Amino acid sequence: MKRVLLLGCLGIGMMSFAVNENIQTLEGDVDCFAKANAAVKSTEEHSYFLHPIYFDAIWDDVFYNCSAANSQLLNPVTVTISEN
Amino acid sequence: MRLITTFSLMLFCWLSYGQLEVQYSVNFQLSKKDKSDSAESIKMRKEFIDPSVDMLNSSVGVLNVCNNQSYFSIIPNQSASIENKPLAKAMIDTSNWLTTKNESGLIDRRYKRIIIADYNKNEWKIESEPKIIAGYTCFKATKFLKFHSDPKLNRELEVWFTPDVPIDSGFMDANNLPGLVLYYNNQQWEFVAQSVKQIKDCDITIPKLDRISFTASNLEASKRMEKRRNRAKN
Repeated sequence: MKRVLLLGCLGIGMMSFAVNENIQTLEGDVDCFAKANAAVKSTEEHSYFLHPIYFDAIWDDVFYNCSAANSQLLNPVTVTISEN
Repeated sequence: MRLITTFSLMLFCWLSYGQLEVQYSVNFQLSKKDKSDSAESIKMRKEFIDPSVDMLNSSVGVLNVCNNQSYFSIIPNQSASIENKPLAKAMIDTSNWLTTKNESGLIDRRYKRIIIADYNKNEWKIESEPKIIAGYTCFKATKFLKFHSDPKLNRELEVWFTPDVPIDSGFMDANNLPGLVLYYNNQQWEFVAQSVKQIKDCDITIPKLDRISFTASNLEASKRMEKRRNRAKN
């Protein structure tokens, strides 16, 4: 009984360690979302007469390239509104 | 006899000017004035913006005119790499314009649709003072562009067109002018014609894509950007 309990505790301990390690790996990755936002902010600060569709295109380019380079899951925010 | 002469002249004009390729120099201006930036801002500009602006300014603008439809695109200099230049990439990717006498549309490849310019409805003011551009006598035309999605982006558009090449298919968002546009300046993009040549084979096929107005497209993009900013804050 003691052995089963010990093995159980050990198993749970190992699992939590593995989960923590996963979180740490994710936190250690490049934050592509922040990188894309920073690229847009920088362009906004220096731009004159630039429309939102161009900022949108810059964001997508930086985010997708960064995600692809870092093998991250793509999770963009997509909003579609009707023309009216 | 008069009828035959008129028909022959029309045919000559159509054959002479029906199919053209015009090359333009490109001058892209991102900011109008130098402001006193922080060190961080200057660093970002040097790393992120200036290489893109340099690349755009080494590109060539190409206008193809076929059967009173025109197609404009910006072709990057082959020796320049577009890697890590998201601003240049965004501007080049959104530089493909299809124009007819009455309508101008920007091809949106990301969302597979045509963005119709709905901000250029004001009348042209045409001046009579001529100027020679690329060997052609041109006249100045201006109009006020009114952006409903963001009035602070309203601006004047200046073009120079030549009635010597009587095509009316326009250039980018400048349409409904009685001649080929050889100079374009919307205070961000400036294109100056360098050469005009006739081409034998030319075909512009307008893709069957969904259409959206420029105003709606920008509102949509603004909403997306707002969501991203809010998500970054949380």
